[in-house]
Amino acid sequence: MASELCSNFIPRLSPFIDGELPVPDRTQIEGHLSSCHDCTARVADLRAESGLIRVGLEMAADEVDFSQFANGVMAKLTPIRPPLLERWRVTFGEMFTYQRAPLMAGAVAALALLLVGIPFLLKGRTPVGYASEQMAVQTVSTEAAAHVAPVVMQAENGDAIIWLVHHDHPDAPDESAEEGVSRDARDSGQELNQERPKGGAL
Amino acid sequence: MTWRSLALAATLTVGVCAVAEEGRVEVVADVVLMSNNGKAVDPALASMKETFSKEGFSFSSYKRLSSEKVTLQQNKATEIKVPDNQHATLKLESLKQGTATIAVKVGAVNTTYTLGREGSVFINFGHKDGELVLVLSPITSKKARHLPFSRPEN
Repeated sequence: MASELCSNFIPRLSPFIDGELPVPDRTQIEGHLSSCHDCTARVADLRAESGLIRVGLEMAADEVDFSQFANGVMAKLTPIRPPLLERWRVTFGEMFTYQRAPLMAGAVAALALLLVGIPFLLKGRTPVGYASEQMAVQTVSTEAAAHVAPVVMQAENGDAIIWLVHHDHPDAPDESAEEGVSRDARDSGQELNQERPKGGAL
Repeated sequence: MTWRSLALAATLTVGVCAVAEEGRVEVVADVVLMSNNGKAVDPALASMKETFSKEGFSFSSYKRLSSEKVTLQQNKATEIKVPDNQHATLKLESLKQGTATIAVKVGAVNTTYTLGREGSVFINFGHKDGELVLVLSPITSKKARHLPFSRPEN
């Protein structure tokens, strides 16, 4: 027959042996057990009962093959593919948490490649529009009201000089457009009748 | 993840280069004043003086008034301010098989020419205490003609 004092502790003996009590309660029960033989015997009985149940369950479990248990459970599960944004969020979250050092190393390497690669690639390439080796004048024309005519001179180094000469000749045509006047044509006197301009002569 | 980052960076590098240069042509535009006032010749214009001298021009002074690198886009006119209250207009007429054709209008002169890695065009367009010349040079030219942009002097 349990005393009134023991009746306060008896309901807590089972969680006590299972380690489910907070520290203050555990300390209190240990203090009671140190002075109560009945409760000490009850704790021993509960521990023995717990041990017998565990052994019995283990014996029952030993008779069952659990090798395919995990596969069987997974096979019954319906695979759920999260949305793309959710997968990316998880991926990048784990990457920035667990792979920070390789990620930083990769970012630095990528940045270095960009900084070195872009100038290197641009340096060796022919600029856009410069496929031809030599410049070439296609057409030259002047406004009629300006009363000037262009003289095109091709230098030996490939440069082209387009020089304007005035023509106040009374028989000059209304339109003074000249296209591609070459040095040879000019020298032959067929197009213009003026001397080559010199510094300050115009 | 490192090799993925490198592969992505390599792809971006090539892509940036390709996109950045598509349909854009660059030329160097200088405005030079040639006169017989003094004998000062801009060191960067020494080759220009030599070219003109061989063609019979005997100016003693070559002064660069402005220099800038101009980027031209197809069918889009680009204006360059030149002295004597005039304007020079450059336009990329076409870009065929890697060769660009440029249309230039300055003063009373309209010129079209195809770009080449060598060879400059000198266009005389006005008089202002001398002869004003618009010089269009390729950006690939080895001649040290172009310098950082400076505003034209009116």
